[in-house]
Amino acid sequence: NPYAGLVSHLRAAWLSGKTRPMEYRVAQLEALGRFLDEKKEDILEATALDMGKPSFEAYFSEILLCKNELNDTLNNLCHWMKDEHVDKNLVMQLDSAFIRKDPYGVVLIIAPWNYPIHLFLVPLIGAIAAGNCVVVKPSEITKNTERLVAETLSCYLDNDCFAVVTAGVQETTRLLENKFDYIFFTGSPSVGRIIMTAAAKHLTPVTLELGGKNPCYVSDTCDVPNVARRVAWGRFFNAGQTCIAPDYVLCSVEMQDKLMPALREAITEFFGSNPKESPDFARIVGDKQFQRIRALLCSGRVAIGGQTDEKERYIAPTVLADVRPSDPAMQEEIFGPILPIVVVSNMDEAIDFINARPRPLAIYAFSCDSKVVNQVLERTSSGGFCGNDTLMHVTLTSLPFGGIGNSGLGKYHGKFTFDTFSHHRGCLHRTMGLEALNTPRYPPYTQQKLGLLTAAFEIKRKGMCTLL
Amino acid sequence: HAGLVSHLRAAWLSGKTRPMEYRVAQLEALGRFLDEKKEDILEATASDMGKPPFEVELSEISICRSELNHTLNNLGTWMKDEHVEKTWATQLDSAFIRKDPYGVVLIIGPWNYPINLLLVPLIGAIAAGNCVVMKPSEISRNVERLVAETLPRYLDQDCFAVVTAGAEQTTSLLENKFDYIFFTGSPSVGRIIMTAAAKHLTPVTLELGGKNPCYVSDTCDVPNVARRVAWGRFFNAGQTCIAPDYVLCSAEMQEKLLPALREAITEFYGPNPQESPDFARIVGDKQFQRVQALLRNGHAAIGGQTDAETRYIAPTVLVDVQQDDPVMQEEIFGPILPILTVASVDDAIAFINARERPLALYVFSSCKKVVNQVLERTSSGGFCANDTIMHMTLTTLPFGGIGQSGLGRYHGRSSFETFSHPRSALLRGAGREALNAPRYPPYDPRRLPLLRAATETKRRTACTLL
Repeated sequence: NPYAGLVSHLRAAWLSGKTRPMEYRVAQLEALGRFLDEKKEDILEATALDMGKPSFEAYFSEILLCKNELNDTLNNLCHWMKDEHVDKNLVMQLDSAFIRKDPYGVVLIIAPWNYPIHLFLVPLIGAIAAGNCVVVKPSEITKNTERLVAETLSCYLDNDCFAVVTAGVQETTRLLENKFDYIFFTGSPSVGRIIMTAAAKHLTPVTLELGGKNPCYVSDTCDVPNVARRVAWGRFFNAGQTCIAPDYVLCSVEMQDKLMPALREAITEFFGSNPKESPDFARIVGDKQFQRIRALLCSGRVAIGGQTDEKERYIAPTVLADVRPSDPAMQEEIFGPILPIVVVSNMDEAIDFINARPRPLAIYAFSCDSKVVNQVLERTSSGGFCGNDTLMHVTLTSLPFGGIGNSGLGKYHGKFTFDTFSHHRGCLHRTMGLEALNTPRYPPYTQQKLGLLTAAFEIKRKGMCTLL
Repeated sequence: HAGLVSHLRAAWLSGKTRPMEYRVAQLEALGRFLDEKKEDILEATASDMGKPPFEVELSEISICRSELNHTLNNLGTWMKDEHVEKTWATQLDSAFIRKDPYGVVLIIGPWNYPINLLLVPLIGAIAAGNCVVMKPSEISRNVERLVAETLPRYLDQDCFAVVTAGAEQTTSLLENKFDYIFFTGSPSVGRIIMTAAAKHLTPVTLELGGKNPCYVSDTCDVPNVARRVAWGRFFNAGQTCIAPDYVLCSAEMQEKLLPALREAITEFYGPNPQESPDFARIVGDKQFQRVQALLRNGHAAIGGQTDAETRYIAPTVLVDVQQDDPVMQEEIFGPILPILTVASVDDAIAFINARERPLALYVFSSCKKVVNQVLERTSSGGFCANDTIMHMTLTTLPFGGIGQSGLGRYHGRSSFETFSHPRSALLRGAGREALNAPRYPPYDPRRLPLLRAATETKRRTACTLL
């Protein structure tokens, strides 16, 4: 196996214990910070070359958000690493009972192409913070970023413990034959299945950050211009290539009629009358993806946009009206700058529509009536939820980020990343003496001993508490 | 099983398992099951594997009651939305973690603690608001029948079901889509479960097993060690996933330990353990033969007697065992304790680390440094110093494996969290659009500092690891 040598090299470093001390982890994390600072221009350039990412977007999503995660981790690492002492029963009052945060060992992070720095770096931060050795496999689709990461990241990190592997589909399959102690994957559900099946062979725990069609319900009581801006921003950021972008809108036919001009206005406000000339609108990452998305345009009718340019892999910010559930745009995650609007009669129908489909990574609900927002939240299931905005929940490091069902399993960001890559080891230190405390449990068994033990150990029901 | 699963899914979608009152009612009903069916449980476990009633009361009934009461005492708190820290940009918003159920979950229980290992996950699954399919082990036949016939009467049958199934039917059951699968059993079957789960991207908890090492240092109270190790090894005739599987110690310590172990075993079970009412039996003929074959390794310094008819294997201690012997190649899961000698704690640690990571790791030493050394330089599901098994009696400690011994954790709040999806929620206002304006195109680099200030996390000065 072409990677066996690398993996065993990292495993040897892992067994040496060098990644365990806090000082070591802090040093590696600070080096990551320097990577983001010193390579900022290279990152902006590579992502611009790979998919026409506007530097403002790249700065915000690939650098700023990563620095936040880094700082949150550096600020809190010592707390997170501490043993967590837990409540004890009567018999163990003199013992020490705590949860020790152990690293897993050698972990693998596989990143996608849409936010190619962020989506390997943020997991990497948690993996390092938790004391692991890491193999990073950036996406081969964003070639410039892949090359940048492969060539420069190793200059910042300890090469005994951290490695970047460049690999296409076949080589990744071979990479996965090795035993890893944790696998963190961001990508499509179909590849997620392959990853989990490969992980099952080694009983390797996984986090899978996948995708789906994120519904965006717009009720009849809302501030239409605000909704239009917030939805358009979420949909067209990175030319729609965002796992938590609003994928389609559900609203009444009246709201569709109001939304349309507002969306047109927002798009013009954002990108000008000819978005192709705007420096603030990205491109599709590759020809294959471009063709896939373009084929979705024959759904409903094109109310805004619809223009494409194959040479530039440009697809205009597009809104499709009167889209039917059977249309192509409703059969797969769009992952492009196309926003279909599907008409529903009311909120109940919207909720049923959402619940009849695989559970998405995000659900959005727009309403001035908080009751409506809460109804949607309560009666649906999704990775995350945002009321009256799109994408913004992901900017809080204090909120866990992850999917459910087809949109994924596991969660990360902030402390949740550290916890993802840590094994919570339950520990009990008892004393060598005080044997009298133990004698009731030993045979020969008597009723009296049993009474003593249940009195000492069994947890009793307390008075009722109310759900505030 | 498709019809059953879709019936439960319809009940799930109706939302009936969501209100706290509903969940409390179901949990209280579980409590009544434990109370009213106690004698039946004692009888069934005795028939299945000669379990002494004392052991059943302690490890099957009392433990479940503790988990039940702990859950009922805290459910209101656990279910609450957890509000989180916000950035400047989101100060006026509501940001919280909502604990959502997964939906229809599957719990597959093993035969060694057939009530405990089915019910304790069930408590968490119900507490978290799920519908549940339970599959008790077909190997502990009497308990399987008891659970299948009586448990459903206590629970809402729209939302909770017991399925009896052998290996083939379980394979068929696994073809259905579940929203979570909780499995306790062997690593090899764990792989099969996870592979089946992968087809539906179903998250799993796998509570598996391995060989739990027990290092006994030269500085210890030998009689105490002998009692605590013997208790952990021979409880339930060794059929415990966290039983000490083998001892590592110096040759000198072995010399001291053997008479102490002999004394402890006699103290516990008398001169002829086969006559003791306090010693269990092996669950089945197949398992009996597997465990009996391990007696061929080393030689039995204590015990070694067997009786196929009653599936009795005496509390046994083996010495002169080699690393490559069959008894060191698989989890023993029986009343046999091999002792292997090592020169030092470093050798013991190297021995442990050369092998699969176990569910539990035990160290006996009066010297704290030794205990901490072993803890720090090894990796295992859980850890207990100067005793065996006892760490699992604390509902506040997460219980689970690592590597071959499993993935995921439960007990107490960890069970509730296992079966909950922590859904992040950000509720913003419909107005205050001015706050959002800086993020919209046309992009102006001069706005970046403002955006950064609104959303950033700054580095604070270094804190020290206390």
